[in-house]
Amino acid sequence: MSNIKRALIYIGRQRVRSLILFGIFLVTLLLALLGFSVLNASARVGEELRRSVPGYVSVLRDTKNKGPSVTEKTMNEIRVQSGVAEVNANSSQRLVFPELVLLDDTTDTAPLAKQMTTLYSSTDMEKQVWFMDATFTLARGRMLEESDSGNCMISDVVSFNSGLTLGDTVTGYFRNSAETYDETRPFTWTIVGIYRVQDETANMTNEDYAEVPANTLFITHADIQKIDEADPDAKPGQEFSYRKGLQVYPVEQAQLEEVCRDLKEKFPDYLIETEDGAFEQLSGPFRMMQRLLKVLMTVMLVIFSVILILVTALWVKNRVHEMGIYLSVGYGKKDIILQLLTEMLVIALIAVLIAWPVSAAVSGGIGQSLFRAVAQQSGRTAADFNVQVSAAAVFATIGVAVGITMLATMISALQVLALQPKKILSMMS
Amino acid sequence: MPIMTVRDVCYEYIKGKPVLKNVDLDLEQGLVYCIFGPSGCGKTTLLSLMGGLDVPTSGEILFGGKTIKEIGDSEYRRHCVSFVFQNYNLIDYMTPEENVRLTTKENPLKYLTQVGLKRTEARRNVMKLSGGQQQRVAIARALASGAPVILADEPTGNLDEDTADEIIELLKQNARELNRCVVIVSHSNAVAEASDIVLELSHGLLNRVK
Repeated sequence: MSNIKRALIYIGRQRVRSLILFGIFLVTLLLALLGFSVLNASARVGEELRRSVPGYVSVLRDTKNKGPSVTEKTMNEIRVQSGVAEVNANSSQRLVFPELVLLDDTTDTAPLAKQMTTLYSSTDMEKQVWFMDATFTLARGRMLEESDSGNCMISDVVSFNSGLTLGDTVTGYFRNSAETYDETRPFTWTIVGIYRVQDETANMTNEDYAEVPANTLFITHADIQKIDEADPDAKPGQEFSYRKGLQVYPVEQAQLEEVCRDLKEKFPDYLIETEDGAFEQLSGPFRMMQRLLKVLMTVMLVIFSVILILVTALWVKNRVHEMGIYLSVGYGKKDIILQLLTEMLVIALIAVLIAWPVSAAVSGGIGQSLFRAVAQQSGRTAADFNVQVSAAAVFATIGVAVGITMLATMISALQVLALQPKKILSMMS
Repeated sequence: MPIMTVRDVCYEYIKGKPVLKNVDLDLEQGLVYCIFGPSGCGKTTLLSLMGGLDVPTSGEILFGGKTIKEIGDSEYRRHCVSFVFQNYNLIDYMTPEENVRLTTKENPLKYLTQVGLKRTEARRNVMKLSGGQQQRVAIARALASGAPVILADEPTGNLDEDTADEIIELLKQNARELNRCVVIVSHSNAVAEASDIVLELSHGLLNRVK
């Protein structure tokens, strides 16, 4: 009689034992499948975050050492460097907006101090740091494009307080003194986008940046350039510069440090550093969760392996008589071990076949409840985390099941190998 | 020519205290052998050595002119000898059919009906059969293996007189009709009387008394 047939007869007839073993496998595999699925979902979110919130190399003017400004030329030179995918340039200006009701952002008691705010420009607004790390999100209208000269984006709070909406205009002026502004040179923009500030505490320490983020107005480089050219304090013939520097994105995120090193070597007059803080901050909860899950899964697998090994070893001990019979009718110890292994694998396989659909059915709900807390921290919803039982998770689980089964069988096999036919015969007689 | 030869076999559990002393025995097909002797004289030990379940301290056991080592333990137990035990030693969760199928690829019903079991009994759990029926299943299993030597250790020890007679007759019949060599270890006079050759094991020595 073949090993498989003997194993199937044993499983079919010794139902209580088979069911207990099946239960152990089912619980282990369900937890393993769910664990792998949540880990995969978490890793997927991490990859998405990596793509949507990539790290970049910042290139700034070295003001301390009076280094050169970051200009169009600088940007074009950096753009063609090896490993550089794209470059986003940023600039800023400050004007007085008498009709805007800005949030109180200064302790300056001068009459116009509370009407001054920062105008910010970016080559690619989608890649602008605060929009990228979700500090700001688009609430209405559209994002500003490079061709949007004369248009602007404003925060929902300031637009609401000022009674403005999409299509309305805002006008800014140079400040002449503490009390007056230059009404002869107005700069007017039409509102095409309204953004919402998700994190009021963001960038509060940035000197050039409006202390309250919601006071910021986004305009194009072309418009900043116009303001620069009209600036009474500007030096004649001064080249337009990107005061807020460049964001340099590598082709591969893994090359971030390498690109930074290369740029430092080739552009030693600028302040060049890697900026990966947004990703670190957003991916932190996921990495923590992944670490926790890995620890939990390892502990769980060790506990279940020990239980399985003990149960199997105990049952093999109780089956010495049966094994003696097999030995006496000519089956080898190898046949007995293979039968044990087959019994375990068949039960494990049935458990996998049941655990798979069950875990697929419950993984969504469990995954969402697990991700709820971390989702809130990253400005996402739990629904964004699609926890699915993938083929990879199933294969990994089958691998785990086979591994535990082999281990339990091998340990039990030690008892079989130690069987002495003579002793069994004596016992049987 | 003997099918099995026990040549100058000695066995000791404790050094210097042999249980078997230079035992010589030639076994021939078609005959029933009975080995009797007092408890603890080494009957089962001799049977286990002949069955390849243990190895002699000295001497050798030959089957068809080859040693057990040359044939291989599992191969020897599967094809050369088969056991019938006092307590039947059947796999308790299997049916008689499945127990017999452990030793043969042929239809087990052939052997089960041969030993007097009905078709319905052959498909019940083996533990639901009487002691006599279980011993018949054990004999059927031994016969089905096709091994030329059947080693029976107190096969009638747990059976009533009538059933014991039937079992002995069955073994005898098989020795005659199928040219098997049947070796029975027993205390029973009835078994000794029914056997062709009777050997007494005493103080480690084997002597033919019939």
